[in-house]
Amino acid sequence: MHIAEGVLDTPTLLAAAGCTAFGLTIGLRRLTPRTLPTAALFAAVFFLVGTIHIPIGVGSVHLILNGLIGLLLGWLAFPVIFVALALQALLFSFGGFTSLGANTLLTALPAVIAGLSLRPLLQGPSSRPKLLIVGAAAATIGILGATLLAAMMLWSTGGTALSSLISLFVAAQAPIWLIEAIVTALTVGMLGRARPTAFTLGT
Amino acid sequence: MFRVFLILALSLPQLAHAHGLNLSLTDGRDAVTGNVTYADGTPLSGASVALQQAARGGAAAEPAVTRTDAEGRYAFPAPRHTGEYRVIADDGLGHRVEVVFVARGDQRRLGTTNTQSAWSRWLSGLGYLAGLFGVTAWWLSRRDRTRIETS
Repeated sequence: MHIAEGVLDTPTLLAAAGCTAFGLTIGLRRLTPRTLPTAALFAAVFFLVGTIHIPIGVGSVHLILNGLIGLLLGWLAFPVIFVALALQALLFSFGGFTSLGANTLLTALPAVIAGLSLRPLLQGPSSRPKLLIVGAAAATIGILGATLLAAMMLWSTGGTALSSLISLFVAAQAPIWLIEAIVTALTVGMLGRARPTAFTLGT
Repeated sequence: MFRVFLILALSLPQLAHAHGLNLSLTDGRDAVTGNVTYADGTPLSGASVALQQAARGGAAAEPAVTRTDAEGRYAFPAPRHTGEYRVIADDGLGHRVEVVFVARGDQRRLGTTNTQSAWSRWLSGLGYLAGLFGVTAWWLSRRDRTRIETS
């Protein structure tokens, strides 16, 4: 999900950039030698999956994996997604530099919400079904949150009714939500068994 | 995919930047036609396309607006005046592309697309990230060392 330059109006862009700056400040404080390698790895993952488009539904969509990033990195989702989106804008012309704040916010905020709300469930030993459900839930919060935020930003710019924007976005994102839920559930299921401490960074 | 290469092959060096969208444009004698695709070549269907004379000092002229068909094609009657025009495609979901051209009615084909291959862009991105990782790691280690030395 990349909102291009020249789509949103200035007040919306500024408000979103302000919120992103706040998230970045919190995230960067959590960048330590221990969290850095995971952060860099997921910046690379996010950069790559965001540029591989899958032609299904009404448009062309790509994986976001923000739910997974939120679970694994907490507040670090902000700096990780910010640098990856900046590189996508620079090299692929996806999104754009004036809308970088808005795009970071709509992707990273749901990630942080998914991470902070679901991590308590992963403390202690977890059964495989539980890990899979938590993974799918993280993907759901990530995609649904990004969808709602994008719809709200376009609505605040004006022109289109919020309800029709939401239904358009949901139609566009429904197939990717399914793929994303499966990918996130399997990753969380695997990591939760192999490294249960993986879900503690960046809180 | 073939169409993308066709656009690439026929495009003039005058390329505008696209935001995940590619827009091709032929400035013909009777019509301005073209098509809009996503970065992967999927056609952008039902998107709004506007043709507008570029503002020069005064207020911009009212744009002509149309929608792309199922294959992402659009067409406008050729502009009556020569001069600078812009074509703006917007799918209403945050994807937008804008191309500026000078209407001369002489069958020139313009297009916007990124000429660097996807592989080289992926590699550049990963290279930047590795560099950023290295610089941050160096900075964090220096900061920790300074802390230990001063404590």
